[in-house]
Amino acid sequence: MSMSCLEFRRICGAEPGCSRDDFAAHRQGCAGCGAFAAEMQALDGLILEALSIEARDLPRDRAEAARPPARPRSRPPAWLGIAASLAAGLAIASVIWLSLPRVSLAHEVVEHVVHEPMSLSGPAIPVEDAELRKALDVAGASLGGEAGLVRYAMVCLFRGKLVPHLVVQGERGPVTVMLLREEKVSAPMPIDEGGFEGTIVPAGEGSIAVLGREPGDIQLVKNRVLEALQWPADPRPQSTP
Amino acid sequence: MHEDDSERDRRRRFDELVAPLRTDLFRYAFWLGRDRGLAEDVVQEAMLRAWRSLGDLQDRGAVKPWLLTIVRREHARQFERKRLETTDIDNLPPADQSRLAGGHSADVEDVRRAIFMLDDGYREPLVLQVLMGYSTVEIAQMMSIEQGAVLTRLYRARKKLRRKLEKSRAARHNGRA
Repeated sequence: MSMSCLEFRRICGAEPGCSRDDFAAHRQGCAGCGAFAAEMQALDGLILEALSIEARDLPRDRAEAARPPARPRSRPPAWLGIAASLAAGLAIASVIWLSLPRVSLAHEVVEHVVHEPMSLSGPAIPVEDAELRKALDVAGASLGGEAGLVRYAMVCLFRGKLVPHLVVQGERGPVTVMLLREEKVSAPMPIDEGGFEGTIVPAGEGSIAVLGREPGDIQLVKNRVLEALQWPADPRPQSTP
Repeated sequence: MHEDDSERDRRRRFDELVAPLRTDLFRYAFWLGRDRGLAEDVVQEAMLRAWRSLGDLQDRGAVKPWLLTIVRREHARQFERKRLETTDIDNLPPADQSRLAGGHSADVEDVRRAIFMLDDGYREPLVLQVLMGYSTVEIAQMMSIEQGAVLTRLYRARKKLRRKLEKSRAARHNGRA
């Protein structure tokens, strides 16, 4: 029995790409349903494009989404086109500038720390050895006791990679240390943003980021960690336990 | 095999299997909760869970549904935790929702806003079908519902989107006239 138009449209509305023979036959034989199927497939193209969002297109959260837009979306006057072109040019230049590795890596490190405020709060109590080992394992690193008191150790996602995120207690306050195996820097890169100071220095196969709010602590912790860090370029076993 | 070698292999396996799917995971998480911050948290936590239980994944071909399931569960957990903070999006006026759109065509922006307004039960199967490429049988398994229910939801979702799009196009046409 052949498919009715109603049945065809029900299936088409749920699965425009349905591969059933009777579905295909009806589509070919009925001009109205053929047009409906074409419309559904075009709609699916729009749906796919609409769903394919990028993080940068979106407001950070619903509160940001709820804020009124800066400019109404009514028909713009001609001069606005010129202004928009200039603004777009500036925006592109800004994006290029911001995407330079030196700036963006430091910025992303600070942003990561800012978004993990619990790492810097609470008392300066050392984490369990197992916890520290687990965090360091993702980078194939180990840390000697001379690094100081490690009060926070987590595995975090940074630039699509899992990295150890540690907080070492300095003399005046906490200092964040992130082991960035995948981030190579040829020379120390300063961090000075959002009230944080610090540096990203070459270490192991990649680099480590050291940042905090007390400049004296940062230098101290950086030196201690670099001395205590065992991070072979090729993490082959050095000795058999 | 020595522990360091096995750890390195594990990391390489994780990078090979999981890293290429990050964008898909983020998109899925975003459309589940319609909140970028929540989606980022969900994906971050899901990646950590995936890392911890990577050994459980026997079939490399099943990595995507495995990760989507982790994201889905993690979303449910986090959404439950944050529910009280996130209640107002459905009441946003259209002008505000336009901020959610990127620089695409008016039709795409209209469809995106319409998807945003769909009920969760309609939006999720649509995302799994159109964005992730799953069949209605697979979607039924993932959502633990009957295939017939998936078909009905997909049909209704498209019907709503089509109507919204027609209205938007008519409004734009009248605005120009």
